[in-house]
Amino acid sequence: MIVMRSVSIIGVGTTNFGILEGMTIKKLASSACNRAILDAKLDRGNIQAFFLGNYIGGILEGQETLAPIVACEIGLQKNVACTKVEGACCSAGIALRQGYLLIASGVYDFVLVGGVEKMSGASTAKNTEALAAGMDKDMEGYTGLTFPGYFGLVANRHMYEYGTTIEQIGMVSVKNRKNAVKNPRARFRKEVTLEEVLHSRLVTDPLKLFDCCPIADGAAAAVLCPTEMARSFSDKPIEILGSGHGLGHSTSYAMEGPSCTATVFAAKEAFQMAKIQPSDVDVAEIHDCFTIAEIVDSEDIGFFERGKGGPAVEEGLTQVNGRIPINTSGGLLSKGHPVGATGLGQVYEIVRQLRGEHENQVQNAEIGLAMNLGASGLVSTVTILRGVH
Amino acid sequence: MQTTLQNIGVDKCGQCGKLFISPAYVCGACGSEEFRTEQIPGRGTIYTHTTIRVAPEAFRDQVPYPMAVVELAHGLRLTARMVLKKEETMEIGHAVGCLRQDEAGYWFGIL
Repeated sequence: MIVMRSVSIIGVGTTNFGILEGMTIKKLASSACNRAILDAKLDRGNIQAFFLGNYIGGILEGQETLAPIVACEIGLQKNVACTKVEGACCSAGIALRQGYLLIASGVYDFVLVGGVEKMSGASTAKNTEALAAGMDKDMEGYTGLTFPGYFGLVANRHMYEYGTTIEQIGMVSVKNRKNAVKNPRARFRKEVTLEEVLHSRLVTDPLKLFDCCPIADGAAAAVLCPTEMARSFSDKPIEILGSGHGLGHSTSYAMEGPSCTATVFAAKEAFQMAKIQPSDVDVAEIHDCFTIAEIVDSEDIGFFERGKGGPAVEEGLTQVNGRIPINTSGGLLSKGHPVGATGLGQVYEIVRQLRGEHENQVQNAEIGLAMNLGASGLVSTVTILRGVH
Repeated sequence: MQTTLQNIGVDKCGQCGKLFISPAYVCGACGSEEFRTEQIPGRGTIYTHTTIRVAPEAFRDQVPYPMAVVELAHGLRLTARMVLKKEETMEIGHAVGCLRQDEAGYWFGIL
């Protein structure tokens, strides 16, 4: 990919993630986007385009066409191009990438990107059904398989191929819940023990309740501009060094081992653009919708060799003070997973790390990575960010 | 198992012969939109498995229900509902056979 100019994040905003009673989907998105604009200290009249990620707002809230609706609420100009972006749980990662590409290519100078979901108004069964809309209905949607079920399939295959243990998988939850204790944006801020994880009720074998992220309401947003202009707005602009977007499999039976090719390709693309290696990354937020997903992601990105993701968790390599700290925010497992917002929620956390402002600050963190996965391994984005000290 | 195993009708590309789990609309290999049905034996092995205990609304009355990704001959794989007898458990590599096909797709049992 030819990148014509460097792009930076000059502002970020978020709501808390959790059960936010009284907050409509429009209010969530408007609030996060407004906070990002205020953080950027940018006159909102300068924004030229707006991409908003959302996945199941149509099904759960009966609200579509969110991007222009939110744009009107937050006072964007009438010449702003507003687009809703959907790629299941990867919607916000894709929204960010669209904004990035249009600035990198010189079409726009100032783009607002956001993501939002409102889930707490619906039952677990209704949420499960809505999320399943991201499966291929013609091939698999009618079988009764679910997204959690897909990750149960992945977990059993990972354990079979590499000897990954159920304890190693459970330790992801213990680590992430511990990280969330200090994060005021997280839904769950209480630690869990490995015994509690292992003895929680089965959801989809071998995954148990504490292996699964909770639903949440939430929104997150960022303002982007060319790096050459970024210093006029922010003391601590965060440069986007690399951006990848890959395609995986549309059915669970097409998986190529316990892996996601979408992430493999997205990571490869992002690392090539950034001209760095996975070992150069100081801190990462990766898609832990289920405990096993974090292990698979960490191998797909290249932080660990195939089959070494489980032992890495056990050895503490992914702890805040480990070799590659993963999900210092508490991850989706603790923050909750407002599906259309998650990708930018991750970027929000990485930006705080690279500004040196995170509750679980990784010392001297300069390079950060955010990886956002959509559906059952169908789509993935990887964003590599650099802070300037 | 005494039950007669069902064949599985797969879609064979009319141009290049590539096999797909049905329904296939476009052959991504050669671009053809013509397919004919070919019967292949409904036998395979478990590639991986899970048991769904939290289900979408339409399946709530069926939980818990076991499911597997089955690898058939020719290397084709499909997602199947499993029918397990009381003492049976699923293991990767178990030989399985197709018992029937209905609106929930393919139903397999352990051989």
